[in-house]
Amino acid sequence: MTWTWFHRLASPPYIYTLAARLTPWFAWPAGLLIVAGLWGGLVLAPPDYQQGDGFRIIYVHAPSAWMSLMVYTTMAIAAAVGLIWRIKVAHAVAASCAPIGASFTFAALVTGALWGQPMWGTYWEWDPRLTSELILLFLYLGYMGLRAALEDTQRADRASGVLAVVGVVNVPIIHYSVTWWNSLHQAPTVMRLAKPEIAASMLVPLLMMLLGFTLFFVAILLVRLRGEVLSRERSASWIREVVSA
Amino acid sequence: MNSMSRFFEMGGYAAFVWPAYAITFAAIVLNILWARRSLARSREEARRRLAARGEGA
Amino acid sequence: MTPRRRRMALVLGIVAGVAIAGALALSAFRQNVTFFFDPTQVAAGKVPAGERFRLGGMVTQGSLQRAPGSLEVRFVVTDFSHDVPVSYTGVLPDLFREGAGVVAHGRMRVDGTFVADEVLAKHDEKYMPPEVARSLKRRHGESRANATAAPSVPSAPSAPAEAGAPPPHSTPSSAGT
Repeated sequence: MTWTWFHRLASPPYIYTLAARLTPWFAWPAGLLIVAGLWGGLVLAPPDYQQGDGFRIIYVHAPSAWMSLMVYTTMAIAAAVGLIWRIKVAHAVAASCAPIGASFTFAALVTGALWGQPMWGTYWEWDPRLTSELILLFLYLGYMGLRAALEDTQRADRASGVLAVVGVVNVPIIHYSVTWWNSLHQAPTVMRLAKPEIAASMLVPLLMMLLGFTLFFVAILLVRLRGEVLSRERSASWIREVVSA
Repeated sequence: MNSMSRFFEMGGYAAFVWPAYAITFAAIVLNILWARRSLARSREEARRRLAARGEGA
Repeated sequence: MTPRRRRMALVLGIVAGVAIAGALALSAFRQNVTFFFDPTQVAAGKVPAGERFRLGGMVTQGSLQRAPGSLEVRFVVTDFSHDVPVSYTGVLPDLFREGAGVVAHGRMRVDGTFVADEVLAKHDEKYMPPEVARSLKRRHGESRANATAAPSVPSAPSAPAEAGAPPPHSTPSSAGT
């Protein structure tokens, strides 16, 4: 068994320097992909046969919605690893995820409302997909609130970790809400087993945005993670090196 | 000029498309600012802790 | 070793427990989670009598009628086994089309007409440029229209015959817009 990589990843000084080194490798490709995806989505892609130029909201709505679910899944896995193996770094990852996920869940809800008004005829309906996504926002906010309420970092890690793990049940509910129940929201276009029913000229910018947002998440996570790791270390000597630099 | 203004009209959906893009890009920019601020704060805090410990010893 | 195993079991147990509780709750409240009822459910009397509910289905091809001089529209919502006539006064959303999905909110009148005070358009997960949609419609027009517009008058594929020789880029007459 070669668990050395695992133990090394759990070591705060190693993760701190690794995160600092890796950040630009995610940030720059993310920026390039998002700019290229924007150009492709707003300028190169043709208008939709039903929705005209209004469909272009997909290029910000779908990546935001994807982030809301992907970040939550990452957060729940990190929290579970932290709870089971008692790894501080894993709890630091989970804590770093929450504000990122919350902001993109909010963006997904608002962009969805702006898309729904002209196309469906309503900003908001208490529809299964819309309601479960709103619950996701409350899960993120509850997680952050719980952490803020608990002084002691270790207790905050454990209590909020349990909440993150419990809330992961909502993730498949959101994804399958449109197939399990009658919903106003349409079925997924890209995140499905069958071939996407979208023209290539419209799909390519969407894939660029999805990948760009994902890399952006990793870059932001790495920056936040360094702060979280630092704040958890009381008196280690390595802090002197990284802080005075 | 004409094609430019047509682009900004978004086929009549400008009032929905542009706010959607604005809110998403606000989320991106705020994430960058918040992440950098939180790292700077943690570093500042760690520096203060070290200083306090150094004086005590 | 053992305490870690115990924590792992605890974490997995919590997730499993919440998932089971959630699944039970959701299946118990399935009726309440139903966002809309389709015409078959309406015909089977699954809808609470006299109450407001949402009716969902497909707008029958060729069923849209506008009352001259007012915003009142009438159309038929179908799921291809049952039909429900709908009456609505107001502005229709941009994606409202004959042959496309719709969700109407309102009440059943005694004469069997659904009186809606809100009409929402549902759209599918397909996105394509207008030219592609046009050529698709031209190529698969016959078979597709016959399959989807079964209970109504087929409008699109028979239209070109009357016009003689329409240019290849003319839109097949999709009524309503």
